[in-house]
Amino acid sequence: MNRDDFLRELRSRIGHLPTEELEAAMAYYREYFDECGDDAAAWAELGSPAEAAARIIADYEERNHSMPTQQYSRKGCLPGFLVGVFATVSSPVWIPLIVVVLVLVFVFLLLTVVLLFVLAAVGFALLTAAVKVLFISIPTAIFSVGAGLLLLGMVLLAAFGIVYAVAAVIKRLAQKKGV
Amino acid sequence: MAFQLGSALLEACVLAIVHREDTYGYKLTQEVKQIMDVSESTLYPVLRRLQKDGFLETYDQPYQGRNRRYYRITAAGRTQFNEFWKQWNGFRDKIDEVMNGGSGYEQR
Repeated sequence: MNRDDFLRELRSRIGHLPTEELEAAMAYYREYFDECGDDAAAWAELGSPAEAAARIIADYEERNHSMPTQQYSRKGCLPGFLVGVFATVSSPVWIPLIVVVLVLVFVFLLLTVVLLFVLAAVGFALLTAAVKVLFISIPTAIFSVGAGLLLLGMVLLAAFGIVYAVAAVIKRLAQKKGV
Repeated sequence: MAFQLGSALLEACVLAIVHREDTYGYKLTQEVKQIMDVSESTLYPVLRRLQKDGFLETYDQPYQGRNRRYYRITAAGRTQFNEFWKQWNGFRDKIDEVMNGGSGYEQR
């Protein structure tokens, strides 16, 4: 058991390290034996080549893993909820959804307009009927005129309300686009 | 010794020794062994790490037909040693205080 045995075993155990690391370690241990002069004493102090090799490798690994590695930057990434919002907006799901909503609104308005026309027609019918029954029953004629005027008044109010509401929505949308 | 020696303390001691004068591996090991019980094979990685961190540099000097590799402290190494020295003083004071019953230095 002399220094050459120690150095040979050490080299075989750390042989996979980069040449510079390997040679630096070998030079150090060679020098250590030279300085000590007594191979047996040096070996006793140094411990086993396996132990020395383990420490050299552990230190090398630690040094190279603690080097500043490229961290994935979180800056520049969007927060999670925003990603969700954009994904939904940009996905084709929105197109049919918007179409459905627009159709529903249109149908609702159309039905309202038709209803108003029907009510207006009934109102006119009542007024016409009043003229016909004027000479048969005056109270019936008065009731008919009153009911017909009431209906027409309600229709006019509702129609103006809807027109104003639609105009306001359109105005607001136009303003938003302008800005 | 009951107290474990961390790698930072070992690095600080090695820097302190090299700070005093340039030295070579074997001599350094003998000096460190006088103050603390360390295995020889723990010192080489410490030296290598200090060297790689730029705190120590080496140069070779011929001695009896071969080369001795000397270690010398760098400017960065001096800064690091001063930092260790400051931290060690603060740490030692705190340990002293608690060891002395938390009454400062009166029991000395």
